[in-house]
Amino acid sequence: MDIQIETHELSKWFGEVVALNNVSLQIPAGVIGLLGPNGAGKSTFIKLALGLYRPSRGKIRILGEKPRNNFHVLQKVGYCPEMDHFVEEISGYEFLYWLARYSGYDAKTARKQVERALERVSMIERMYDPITTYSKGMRQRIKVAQALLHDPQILFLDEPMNGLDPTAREELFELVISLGNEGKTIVFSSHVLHEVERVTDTVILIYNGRVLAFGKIREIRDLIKNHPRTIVIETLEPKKVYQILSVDENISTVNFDTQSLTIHTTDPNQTFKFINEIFLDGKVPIYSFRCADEDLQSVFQYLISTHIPRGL
Amino acid sequence: MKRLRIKSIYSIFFDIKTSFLHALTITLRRDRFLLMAVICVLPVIIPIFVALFSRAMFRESGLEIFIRLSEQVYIHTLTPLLALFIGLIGVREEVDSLTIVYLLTRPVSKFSWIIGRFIAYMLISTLLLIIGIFFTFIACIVLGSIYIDFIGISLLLLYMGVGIMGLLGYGAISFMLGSATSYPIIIGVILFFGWEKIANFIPGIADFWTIQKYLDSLFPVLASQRYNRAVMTVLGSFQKELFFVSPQRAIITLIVISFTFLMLAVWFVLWREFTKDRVVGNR
Repeated sequence: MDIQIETHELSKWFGEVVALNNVSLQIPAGVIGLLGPNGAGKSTFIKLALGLYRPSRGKIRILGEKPRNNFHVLQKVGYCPEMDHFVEEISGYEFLYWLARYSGYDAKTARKQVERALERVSMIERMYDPITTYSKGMRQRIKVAQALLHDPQILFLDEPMNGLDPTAREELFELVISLGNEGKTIVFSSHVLHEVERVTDTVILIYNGRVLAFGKIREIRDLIKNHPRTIVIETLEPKKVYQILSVDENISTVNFDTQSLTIHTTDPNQTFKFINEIFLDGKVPIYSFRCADEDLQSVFQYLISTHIPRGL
Repeated sequence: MKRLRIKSIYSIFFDIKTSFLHALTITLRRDRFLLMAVICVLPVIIPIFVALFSRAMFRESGLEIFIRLSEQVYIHTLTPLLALFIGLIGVREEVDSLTIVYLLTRPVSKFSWIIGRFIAYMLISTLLLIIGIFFTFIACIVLGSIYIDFIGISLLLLYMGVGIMGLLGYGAISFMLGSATSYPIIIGVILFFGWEKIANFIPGIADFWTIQKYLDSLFPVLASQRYNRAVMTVLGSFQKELFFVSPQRAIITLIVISFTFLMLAVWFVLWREFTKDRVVGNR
């Protein structure tokens, strides 16, 4: 496995505020979703990876090297920050031109790189207009373009969908997916679950400065042994179905509807086995059964709820 | 094994050039630059005003006015002002506007970045200062006792040179303040117009910790003593001679101060974490 980002007991605190706590990860190449609510520590993690922050404890390595003040690492990473700050009176083109020059390109190559990056984010038409006249979505696209300028190997996108209209969002989703297909490592940070699901099935769940889980969404789901899973069974005789299922000790709660039965189980495999038996037996008709909380939102809600102190 | 990462000399010069050109284009568009340009030529109207409205018997000579304006206005006042207002465009504006994040995530050497910006600041400020001094010199010729001869030109070049040394010293300190503190203008005003003035009223130990002392040491002796309130007293005169700094030592000291503060500015850029989002809820 080609490890791109590696952290060991990485912590960062500001005064008494712990922003990131004891994070140990090995992130391989590919598109990775960095998922967590606002204030979870996503931006802190990215800034540590870019060397903008020094770790308070532990270590972080990007492509095997310390990132802070390391121009070799910075040559290989691109960063689209969450914050929306520009030199307002200059054009998007000029803004990118100087950043390309700082990336080490001569004037002629810098111009080519700028046009290429602007083309990728569909900003060619407005590139000579002052940034101050740009909409929120355009500004966001300029930020993405500057991250792509020097064709980086690793791309950190911190909440890149903020402020984008549906068309621009779709374009950016496609861009991220195509960059991922080109073999780039992309750390895609967001607090919106479906945004992450659109671009990757590998996520790092982060909350309160701690990494709750890291891996494929399904694998993460399987890790949660004690999480009562919700199964919906569609049947005309829900009470009869429950009578048969009641021997399963893993079922904790049951909700009846006229044509369905919703159960919560601590061992879904065992419960599914029982349901299969009923289905194959055919004495009580079951039209369908499905897991109602397989999506990322449910995993996330569960993981967060187990980490929020009681009383909050 | 730890690998040592050092940029090639070519890359360092490339980065310095990029930073210099970038700073130049930014600074020349700033309203602050236009304001400083106007302020730098304003003293020219003083000799013209004196020539037109002052009675001949009370009128100071062109030489006296030129010396007074060069020392008190240009070197003691405008050099630190230029350092604060032009010098701080280079680094501090990037920090305040948070656009520094874009630069810090580029593979550019921070040393080259600071040096490039400093050279741009020096070029712009020097041009503003020497243009102002030059036109003041021309205006003072109207009042007489100063001419376009060897002595006149020497005096003009001397004050231009001292002004440049002042820009160097004050500029380096401004750059350091810009990269190290959150309120560089306030601290700069306190240092340059508070501490420096107070310390120079008490020649002796305190004034060694000012840029002004070394700049004053580069002035023609008689000219500088004429307007120094401290040397009006016997004690002040004694102290001035006792702690006299030769022009050679003054130049070396100013260069050492400038170099030290510039390196401190580089160190602060390398060491500091330039972000403003360290609050709970926006990590």
